[in-house]
Amino acid sequence: MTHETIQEKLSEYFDGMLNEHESAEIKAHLRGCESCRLALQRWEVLSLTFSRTQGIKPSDQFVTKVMSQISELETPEEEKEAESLSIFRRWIAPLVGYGFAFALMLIAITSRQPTVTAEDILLNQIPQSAQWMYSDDSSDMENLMGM
Amino acid sequence: MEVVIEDYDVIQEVLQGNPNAYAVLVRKYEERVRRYCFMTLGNASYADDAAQEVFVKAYQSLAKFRGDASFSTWVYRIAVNHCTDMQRKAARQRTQSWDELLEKEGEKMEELFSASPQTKTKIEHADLLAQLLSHLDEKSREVLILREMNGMSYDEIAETLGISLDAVKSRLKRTRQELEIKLKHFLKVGGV
Repeated sequence: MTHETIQEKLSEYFDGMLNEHESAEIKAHLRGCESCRLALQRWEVLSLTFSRTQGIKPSDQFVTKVMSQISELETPEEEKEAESLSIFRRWIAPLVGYGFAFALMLIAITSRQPTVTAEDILLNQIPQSAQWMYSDDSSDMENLMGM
Repeated sequence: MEVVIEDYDVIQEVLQGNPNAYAVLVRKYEERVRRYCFMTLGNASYADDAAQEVFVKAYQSLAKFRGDASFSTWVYRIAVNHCTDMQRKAARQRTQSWDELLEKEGEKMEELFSASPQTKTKIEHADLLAQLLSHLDEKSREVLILREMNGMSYDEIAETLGISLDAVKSRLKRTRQELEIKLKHFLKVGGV
């Protein structure tokens, strides 16, 4: 094999993918070829670095997360609906009820008209100085008499 | 004695109405799928989200699994396609050029490639390696991660990526040569 052919096959040689005959030929070439030898040594360093630097460790938490997503997928639609209905019954329905009652109270308070009594109408027709005679409130009488 | 349960038997159990049995498969392959996602996407948090989606997708398609390939090859194929989609959708832009990366992380690179096999793995080394891989093109990165980090055979890689054996050989050779040139300065060998 020529140097170029060996360069083509070097990666397969590195991975142990060549037959015995090809491997022997490359081994013989490597004894006299520094550039191929260095290439192989550098790949070895790269390979060791990759296998040493995995960065990821097994994680039970990961398995749990996947399985909870799968359990979610497996929950029948009726159950999901029943669950959302139960949330509605437990929380949303009472909230809506209270809200409605509160709104009614607000409306009642804001739309309340001031009440006008017969006494107010009659007193309006009488001069202020004489109003004490018709008033039920003794403090009014004292005020009007300047006491 | 440990009882070895075949993936195929677990899949049958899941399909017969026991979804909890799927946890056996998730536990068996999660580390390798998450590692692939991490090295492809370069971010541990995105990687875990992506890996979860991979397992959920695999579960949803389990009825279509015919057993022509092994479950591991099948789930890796889903992972490769999913990560490729994610990268394309996000149109992830590299924030720094190769030269900027070398300039900024030169010391860490030295440390990464000169550490002895007994050296404890540091998480920043894994991040650095992921950054480094992000500078390879998609096809080169896929084949290198599957071979070097997930330890797949050429046949398994071909099946996972849906490419010929010759394409696997040629991509691996090209990727190694590219990295050898790019990282020559850091790959100290035989006193060179």
